[in-house]
Amino acid sequence: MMANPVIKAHEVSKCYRIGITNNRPTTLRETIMHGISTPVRNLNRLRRLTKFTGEELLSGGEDIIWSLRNVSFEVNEGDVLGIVGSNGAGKSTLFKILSRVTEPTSGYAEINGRLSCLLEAGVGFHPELTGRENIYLSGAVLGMTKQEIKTKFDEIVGFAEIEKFVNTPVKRFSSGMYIRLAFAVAMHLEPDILLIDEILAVGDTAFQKKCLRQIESLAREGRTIIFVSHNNDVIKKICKSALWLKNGRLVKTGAADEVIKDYENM
Amino acid sequence: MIDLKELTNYKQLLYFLVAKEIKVRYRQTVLGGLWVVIQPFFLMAVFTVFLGNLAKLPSDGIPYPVFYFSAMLAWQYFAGTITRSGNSLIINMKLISRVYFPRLLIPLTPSLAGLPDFSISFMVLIGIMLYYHIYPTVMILFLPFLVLLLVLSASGAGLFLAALSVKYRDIPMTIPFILQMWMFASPVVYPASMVPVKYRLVYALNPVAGVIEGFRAALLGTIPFPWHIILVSAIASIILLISGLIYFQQVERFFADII
Repeated sequence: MMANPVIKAHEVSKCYRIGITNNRPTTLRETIMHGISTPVRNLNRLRRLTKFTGEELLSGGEDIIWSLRNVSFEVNEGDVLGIVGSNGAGKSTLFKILSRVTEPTSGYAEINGRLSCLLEAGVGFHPELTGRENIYLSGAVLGMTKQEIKTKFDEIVGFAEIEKFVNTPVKRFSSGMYIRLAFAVAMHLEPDILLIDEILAVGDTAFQKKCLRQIESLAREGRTIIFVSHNNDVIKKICKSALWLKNGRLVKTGAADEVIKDYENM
Repeated sequence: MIDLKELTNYKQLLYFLVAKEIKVRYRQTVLGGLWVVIQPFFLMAVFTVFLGNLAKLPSDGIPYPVFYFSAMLAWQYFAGTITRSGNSLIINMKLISRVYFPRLLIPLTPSLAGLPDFSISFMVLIGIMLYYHIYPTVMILFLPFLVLLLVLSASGAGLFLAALSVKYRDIPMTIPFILQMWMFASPVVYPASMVPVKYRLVYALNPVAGVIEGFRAALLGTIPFPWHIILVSAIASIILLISGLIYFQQVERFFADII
């Protein structure tokens, strides 16, 4: 079978403003002037949030941070790719760019196919709505059609083990039940490409295993999966290849075993 | 400019968002949907006593309760939609920074979700009219058009405020104030006939003015159907909506980064 890239990231960079505040006034006179000019400074600060000067982008500035810097890679159809890297390496930013939540500052990402991105459990849940209503709402938010949700409804409820509580507002759920329901919806998405961020950090061991099995079965169906985890054994177990990010830059890509080996020996 | 094809792909999501907004509004209340009419009903009573009976403001010869309620109907929808729409992006911050979908759906949801409440208020108005033996004129046929104008102008203003609020948190603070001013710029507690004739077309630049005057003319037969005022209001509301859409489109790509 010809390798067919479904994700193509080309020199993707993302710049954020940190928001460093200026020196505090020391004298009375300075304090008064500072107080009077506050609205003007606030306005300028807010206006600059989305504007970067050419100089800042080229030579950097103390008020900006590159969350991703010139990251290029391809993912082929059916690949299961693991992403490793410490906190702040740019993993979530990368997911946000791939899922179109935010635009790259420079570079581009091409996506071919329906993509769902799980950055967090329970996105789209509303506390006042019942389990049933939330399954429909968050399913729709994550990109399922009403018909798909209907077909999978019983499976989702069974997976989350909340059969008795489908008509209870989720604000009365225990935190475990809430998380299980949130993941159950996410685990029954059927996109061509699935991005999963650190899902195994929560839930009890049994439920974690269940989620992992579900991901493996999605992978066997030929779906493209990108998976962020701090658990290297899990990455080695379910991913063919891996990608290592450090301070926004790509350090290494290749077979999962090799990347993880280098990452662990860093 | 606006990716209509993409929007149609997301119409199911819009449906679910609207359904959520409607369902959630009166959850865990005792009176439920009755809240729709309680507020305008009490305002109507207060206006009748203080502005009508005591201050003796004119009402185009219509009994005060009917005169006020016919305006409260449109005004409540307008003010409620703008408040909810203007705050909608901030309330849905998490959704915006976690998932992709056309951001337009969020501030447009309140425009649609307010319509059931509007319909209930409308029934109440019909009830009050019957009580006073006032019957609608044939111009009631134009009511759907007036409601459309109301929806478009509320959506336009809501889009503007929502888009601005992402960067400037001053907006949620100013919305109640803006609405207070706006109410006095609209013929809610007084008839438009109080406005001098030479200023009346300028006055009609406020889309709510055309809608409320149209409502009163069509339902209560206070004045001949005010075509010129409604025409100006219609143009104003379309301009408001289009410029709201353009502004929203320009800034939405930053929403997830700065909200």
